[in-house]
Amino acid sequence: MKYFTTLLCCCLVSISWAQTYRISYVNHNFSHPGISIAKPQVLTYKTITKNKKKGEKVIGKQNILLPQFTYYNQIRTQNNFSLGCEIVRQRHRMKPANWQFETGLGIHYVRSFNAGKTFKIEDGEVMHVRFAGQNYFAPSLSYSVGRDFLKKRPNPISVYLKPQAFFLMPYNQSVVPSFNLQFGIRLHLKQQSNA
Amino acid sequence: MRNYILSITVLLMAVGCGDVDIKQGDVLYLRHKGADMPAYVYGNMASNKFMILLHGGPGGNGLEYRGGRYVEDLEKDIAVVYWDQRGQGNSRGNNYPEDLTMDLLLDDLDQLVTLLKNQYGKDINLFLYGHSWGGTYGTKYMMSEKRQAQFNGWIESNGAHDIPRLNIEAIKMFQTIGQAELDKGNNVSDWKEIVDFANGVDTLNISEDEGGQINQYGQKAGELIGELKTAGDDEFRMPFRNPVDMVSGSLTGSITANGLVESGIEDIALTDSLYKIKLPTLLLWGKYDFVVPPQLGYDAEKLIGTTDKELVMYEFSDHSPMNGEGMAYAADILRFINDHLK
Repeated sequence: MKYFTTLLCCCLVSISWAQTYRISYVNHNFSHPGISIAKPQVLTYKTITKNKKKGEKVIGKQNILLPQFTYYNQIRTQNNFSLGCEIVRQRHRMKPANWQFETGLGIHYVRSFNAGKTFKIEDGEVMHVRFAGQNYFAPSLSYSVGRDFLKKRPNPISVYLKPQAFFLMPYNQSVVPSFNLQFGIRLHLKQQSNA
Repeated sequence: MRNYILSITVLLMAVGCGDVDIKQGDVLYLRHKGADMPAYVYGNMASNKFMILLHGGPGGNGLEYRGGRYVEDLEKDIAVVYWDQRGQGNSRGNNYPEDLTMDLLLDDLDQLVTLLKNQYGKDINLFLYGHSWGGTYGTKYMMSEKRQAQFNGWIESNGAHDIPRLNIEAIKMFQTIGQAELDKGNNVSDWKEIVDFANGVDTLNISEDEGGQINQYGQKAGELIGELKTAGDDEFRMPFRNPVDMVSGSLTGSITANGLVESGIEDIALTDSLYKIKLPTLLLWGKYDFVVPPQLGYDAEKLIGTTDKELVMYEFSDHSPMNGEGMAYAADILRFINDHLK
């Protein structure tokens, strides 16, 4: 719990200075909980308006750079921190609905810390290894579905569901896929943004 | 904004809670030759009685054994060390300095023993328990007198200490018990498939693929025996949030198992070397174990080089007597341990 508390404080400090953030609850491999925080940077943006029989349809298309920090805890085993970046292609059905669909491709650095004391033995002497853990690189693929709520307010809020597949390498001298499911909110804190 | 922050806080508090008995006990990581291997120590550590559990597979994990009724009985009296072997379960690591071999695994266990004695005292009563593949591992470890001297006793449960012999005996069981079941008209199509397979195997020349198939049919045959006892409703389960990562654990376990097979574990045959074991030994077997047939238990009872040895055959069990006859299983282990304290 102390890790969550620490991270919560960091998140709140960051949020207070940010304009737009994405914060999500993460479930890793269907069992290990965590949180993720991301700050989207819009690279390109265009809006397409189509006149249909049922009325006007407005679609926004964006390319977004999505730096993100994720923490998840495998109880009594590991605390994992990852720092990474995704290139995200977003399609936003702005009118009449407020749905957002994103596909992402990313690369991450993952650092895990053993959740227990780690020891090594040299010449019969037992020594404590501090900050023991593993390092991984992890390419990722993701798809996200989100929806805006309270869009008429100055600070709208959106929710999204994002499955994300990672390929941890090297992991026990191999490549091991893993899976994060994110359920999060997009916070537009200081000015309206569609990212 | 205040509401948003409050909601996030509540969410985080919720996901951080809810762990049950998982939080008791110790977690020690052993770092050795490129691998960090967790040992979860649960139970009565004040008793000074420790049992290292060598899990099955290869490719399993220690904590998968911590899910039955028998564990409650064991942990009341002794401390059980659920250790994840190299490349399996929650063990992680890279840059192994050498190939994955049996010798490397034996070194790992030496290091674990040193670590436990460092953490809990040199005078602890230490027992080694191996189930299935853990029986191969443990028996191989016990081939050295120096290594035997570290322990009070050796407990082998359904242990595969002779894999070529295991395959031959499994074929015999498929043929005899399978034919008897066919004659009774029980599960005719399934037994016919197994018996036909067994009749087609040349037991003087069993291939690696056939060995794998024997293992699969062995699991299936155990399920077909109607009189076996299964885990009861009183079995306690691991809470949803537990240390086992089934996704990555099973994937890396398979990779490690393949590596060990390539290194020649399928050829391990220790029947003729069992006389080297001078340590008090308890052998636990299920009568209907088609995966590691009881004949290996009878062999061990006859050939192990000590008079202080005992074979317990569970009449209503297959490869995992701890599931169906867990209370008797735990009682037998505890009796053996308590009879062999320093």
